Amino acid sequence: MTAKIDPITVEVIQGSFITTVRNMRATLIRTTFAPILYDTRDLSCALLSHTGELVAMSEGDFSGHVFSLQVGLTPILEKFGDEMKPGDVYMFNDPYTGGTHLNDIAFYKPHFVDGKIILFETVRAHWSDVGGANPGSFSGQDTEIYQEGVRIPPVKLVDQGVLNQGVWDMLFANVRIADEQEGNALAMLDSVKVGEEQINELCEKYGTDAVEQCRDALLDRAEQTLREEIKKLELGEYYVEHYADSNGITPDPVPLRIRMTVKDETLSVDFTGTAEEFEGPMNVGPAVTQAGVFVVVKAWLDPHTPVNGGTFRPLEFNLPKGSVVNCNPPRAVAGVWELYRKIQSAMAGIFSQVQPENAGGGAMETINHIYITSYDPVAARHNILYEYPQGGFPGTSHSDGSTGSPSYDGGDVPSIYPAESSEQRQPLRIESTEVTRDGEGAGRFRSGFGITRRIRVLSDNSQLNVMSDASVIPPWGVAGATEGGFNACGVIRDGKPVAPSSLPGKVRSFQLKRDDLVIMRATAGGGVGDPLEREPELVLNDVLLEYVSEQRAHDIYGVVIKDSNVDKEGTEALRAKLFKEKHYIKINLVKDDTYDERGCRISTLSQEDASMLGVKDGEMIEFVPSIGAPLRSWVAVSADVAKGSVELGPLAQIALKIKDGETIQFRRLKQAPEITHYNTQHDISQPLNQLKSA
Amino acid sequence: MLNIGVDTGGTFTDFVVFDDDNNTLNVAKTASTPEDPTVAFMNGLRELDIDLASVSRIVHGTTIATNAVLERNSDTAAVVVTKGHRDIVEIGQLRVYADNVIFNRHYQRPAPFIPRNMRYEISERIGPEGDVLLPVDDAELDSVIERIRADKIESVAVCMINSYVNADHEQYVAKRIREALPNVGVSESMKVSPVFREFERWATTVLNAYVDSSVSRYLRKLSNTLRDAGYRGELFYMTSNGGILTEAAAPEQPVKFLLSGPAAGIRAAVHTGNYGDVKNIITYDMGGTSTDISLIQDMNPIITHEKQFAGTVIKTPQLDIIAIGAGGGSIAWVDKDGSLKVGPRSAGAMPGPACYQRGGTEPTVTDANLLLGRMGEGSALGGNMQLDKSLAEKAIADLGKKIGIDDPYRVAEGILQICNNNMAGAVRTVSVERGLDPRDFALMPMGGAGPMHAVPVADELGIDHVLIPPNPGNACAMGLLTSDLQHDYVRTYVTEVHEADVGKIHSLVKEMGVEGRKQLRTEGLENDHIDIRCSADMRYLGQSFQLEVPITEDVSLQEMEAAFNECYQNIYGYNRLDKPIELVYLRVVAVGVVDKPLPSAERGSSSTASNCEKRDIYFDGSFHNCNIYQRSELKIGEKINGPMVIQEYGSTNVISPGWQASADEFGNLHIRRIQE
Repeated sequence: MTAKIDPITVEVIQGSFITTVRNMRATLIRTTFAPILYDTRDLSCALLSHTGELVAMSEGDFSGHVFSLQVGLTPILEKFGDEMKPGDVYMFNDPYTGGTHLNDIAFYKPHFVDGKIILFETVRAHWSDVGGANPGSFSGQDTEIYQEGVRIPPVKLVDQGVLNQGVWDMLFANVRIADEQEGNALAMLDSVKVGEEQINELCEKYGTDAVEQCRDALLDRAEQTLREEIKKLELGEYYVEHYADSNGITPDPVPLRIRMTVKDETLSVDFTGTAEEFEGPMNVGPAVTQAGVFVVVKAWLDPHTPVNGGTFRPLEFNLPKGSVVNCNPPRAVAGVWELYRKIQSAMAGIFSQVQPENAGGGAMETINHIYITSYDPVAARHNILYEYPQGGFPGTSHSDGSTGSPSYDGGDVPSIYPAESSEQRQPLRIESTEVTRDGEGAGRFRSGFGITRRIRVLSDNSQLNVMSDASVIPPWGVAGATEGGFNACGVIRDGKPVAPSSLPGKVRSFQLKRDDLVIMRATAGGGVGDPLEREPELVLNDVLLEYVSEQRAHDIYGVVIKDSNVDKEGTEALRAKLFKEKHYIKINLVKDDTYDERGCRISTLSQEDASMLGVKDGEMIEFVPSIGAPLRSWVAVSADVAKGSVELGPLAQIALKIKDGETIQFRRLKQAPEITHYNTQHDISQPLNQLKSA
Repeated sequence: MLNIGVDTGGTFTDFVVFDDDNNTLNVAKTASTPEDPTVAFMNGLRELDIDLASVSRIVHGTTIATNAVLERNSDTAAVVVTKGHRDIVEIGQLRVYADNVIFNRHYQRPAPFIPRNMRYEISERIGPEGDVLLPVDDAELDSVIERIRADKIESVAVCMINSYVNADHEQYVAKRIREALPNVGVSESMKVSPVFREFERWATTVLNAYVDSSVSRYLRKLSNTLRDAGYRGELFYMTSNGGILTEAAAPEQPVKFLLSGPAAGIRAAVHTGNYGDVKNIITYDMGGTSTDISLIQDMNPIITHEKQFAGTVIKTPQLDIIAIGAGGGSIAWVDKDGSLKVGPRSAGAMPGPACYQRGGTEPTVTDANLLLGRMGEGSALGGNMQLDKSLAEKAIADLGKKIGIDDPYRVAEGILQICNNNMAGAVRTVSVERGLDPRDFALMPMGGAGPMHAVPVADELGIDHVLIPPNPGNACAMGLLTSDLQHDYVRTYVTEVHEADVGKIHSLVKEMGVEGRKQLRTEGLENDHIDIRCSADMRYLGQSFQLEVPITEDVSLQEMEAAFNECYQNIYGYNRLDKPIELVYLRVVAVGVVDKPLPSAERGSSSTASNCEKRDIYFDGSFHNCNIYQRSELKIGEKINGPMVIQEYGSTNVISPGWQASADEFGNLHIRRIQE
């Protein structure tokens, strides 16, 4: 950069960049034919620099999409860098080198001025189908990428304004509902074109030099801002362990281990020890892993300034190749957004250690993809209902989370799909859509409540595919809060639960029958702080508004309610009693942490301690520090261990910030309730049409 | 006889008095009285010395409903809803209502309007084809009615799934509640917002119920007050669709009072535009904390059928007015990354801009205008406030130090540049979202600050023509007198057009037309003053956005398809002739045309350039010694080149270098870019 560009021009040009992205977005939404884009808004637009750094996104864009767009430009530049020409558009969706899952197709248009690329206009949109084994393209039990649709390496879709018809025809011969997907591609081409026009106008008005200088200045400024924030953090090492429910093939959990080192001006994030890639769908490419980390860094350290790639510069990553966070072909990647959110939870745990005064509960650990698909033989067309009931937003050390909300990772996503639309499209009846009572992550500040929806199936030719997580291992609360809400998707047939899969939350091609009731319940993030310290009046309010039962107010929050008022003395007495009933154990620090062959942490407890907690061999417990996230572990019960103490290794020591010989609270980790238990508020086990005939 | 427009705003209540005997217009304003707006209403009439016996018509724009929503001041509304679905009104469809979510861990959704324990469920069910799956459970209904009584509910929304295809259950439940509890207001979802998709329909109905009691109370009070003072003429109310309602029809749909204030301004813009040599207008109403924008195409204001508001959605036909969080009070500040920002935080009325001398120390857009001479120190913004330029300069100089610019004038111009660029960006996005190009429009500023910023905003947008109406500061009150009576009707008929029953289309349209004529005739309109406009909302099969296309009462299916394809082509530049077209709604708007004030100009006698005041004004990096003209003294047709200021009551019209102004015979001021 030669001359220093003045701050006013920088601001004006930055405003225009963001306006351009908004207009690209508006164009795509207005011209697509796909409900997943115009209703669900599963799309993002962005401007990237000539070297692939994010220059601008809008407030409606989904971070997971956008941050990955940056990474995805590298393979495109490697392949086509020298031969790019004005009027080209490149297409890409390869998960291993910068894509997300195959459904997310990205277009990149290099913006040339006088023979030089100054920016890329880019868009990524989720197509409802990109081929593969199942309608909707991915499921909870995929075993290789070929089942998940068409994999697109960097391809020149438009060559100097001329469409590559061969690529086009081949692509649309391999996807379901091809006319809708073709409409998406046209809308995406419109979108990047609108971006190009507006950047041209900007260059004419302020000069290309100014635009380029501003682009660079914005990136430098964002970098500097984050460095300043990092400098305020306490130097040192922080560590968490977390687990996804299962790998989609066996019930084995998928361990994530993250070590973050705060250096002077940089953060280094190391995933060493994380699970090896596996045959199931719980794998992810490097772009989304980095995006998951970045969302939390941004949300904690610099949430308000506009985001751009400069903010990434102070971050260093170690993503072991061949692990689930940086997998190789041909691993399936359907679980990409589940791992993305798991990583966010883990990072929230780390930042709750780094900044205890600014803590946050675990994230909503799934996007909750639920597909009910059917084939209409008359119209020769697949119907795909894509449900995504939203969960409860995590609490923080100052605020409760909101109910049925999208996460802070962004995206202009609705909370739920309209019942009247679903019923019109498919032979389904929406029997109820409710805020899940008692479905919050309890805490001094609680999370929001998730949503539960029940859908009656009215035909015999529908099938269910689900990719979700947090159905077995829930998100955590921090600083003493209890666990968040479990996700669930189950089926009631003839009044009894049937498991659509042996692995909760991971379902592939389950044949639904007429009168089946599909119950989908969304997770809730974790709260912050001990629920026994929550303001009793706030608990009362939740009870009076019918969000929390009196039973839960009593058992979890220690609040006694009498005649719609807080019984102050009763509450004090109950809370004192519940405090006393907490269990503590002495830590013996040993040389090594103990993990089993799955990579899961093992803590050996005496028979007495196990009975005291009510855990059996192979069940899970949590060690609960007063700051930061709990450390989760599976229990081995042994007669050889002395009562009242447990051995933990050096990683546990970092995770819990604990010294040898100190005691720490420990407790049994709650297990997911049976699906029938969600059926509490209404007795709707009878299909309505039977009621009608009665 | 006199016609009076009374527009209640947050700070001032504006009055426009038109005497139709001698075609004269008088404007005034008085301080608003938010606790009881009728006080300001009557104060203003007294201050204007109005003899109510000589008034034939009063048209009123009120913020009573908007305030009820923004202040959340009602706790007596409830909803009766299909069992299993009570939380839909809370869960909703969050999407852009939550535009401050990203990276914000502390995000809080606005609380639901009706708390969960006041959402009463009833067993009943209609299927998607309109078939009754489960009849209304009368025993449950009886106990709900008892709860409504016991909870002292004043208004109830009745919301049932799939009522858009069969509203029998809703009607039945509403009827039973009305019979049992005649004093409770009942809002049926299919009466308030008869559309497909439960959330939007119910959210609108819930808002209707929510504002019902405060609106009814206010209407009764104003009627009684005026009658007691001897008024015997007609009383009308402005609504958000840009039309007016009679006193008798007004209480039916209080939700239409929401956001009705700015709608009147759009009507004034259309009235002005009809005499102003323009086809398309972007209105630009800039106030202290926010700016309202709307688009008028072919002299028809763009209508939207859905608007996000206060964390929820209003699904009724209404003028498409977009509020931007930037105004004269927007504060300029330095973010932690060292960048210069303007807004969205506003200094409001207290402490107000630094120059107001009320203790404000942060520089605002108004301070920048004052420092640069674009606004005079004596320009009272509708009050008798004295402005202090030195305070503005200090605030701006302090800001300049933080960003390393010593020259406060350069900083002040930067503040305006950023503010104008933000507003132009918003206008551009609004246009793109509607498939329109702002360069095909004239910009019409209104409000206290609009005419100060209009020319640079137009410049930013590539617009060549700025049209300033007479009394831009009182546009809303003026618009009240130029609005027609309007009733909107809609029927849902979801079908592919090529397989539609054309007889059904004709009978639905006719039925609505008959209803509209009948309503207007009972309101005293003659047939030759009634205008029936029909339209159809269509889309390509598989899309969710419909386009509203005008149709005739005896339209054929082929004509409907052709009209849709043409409209789509015009907006998106292409169409999909291979795709089936789907009809969703049929609409009728019944308009009762009222007599409107004729515009006239106060004609300046002397040549404008002689002995006018002068002031130094900063444009493009330096001060220019500029003429300050009085608008009332401009000579019709004379062209004057900027830079300059044209001053009038309540407004300062700033014209940048490179632009030229001229007044026309209708009292309009045209500012055009000088072509090189």
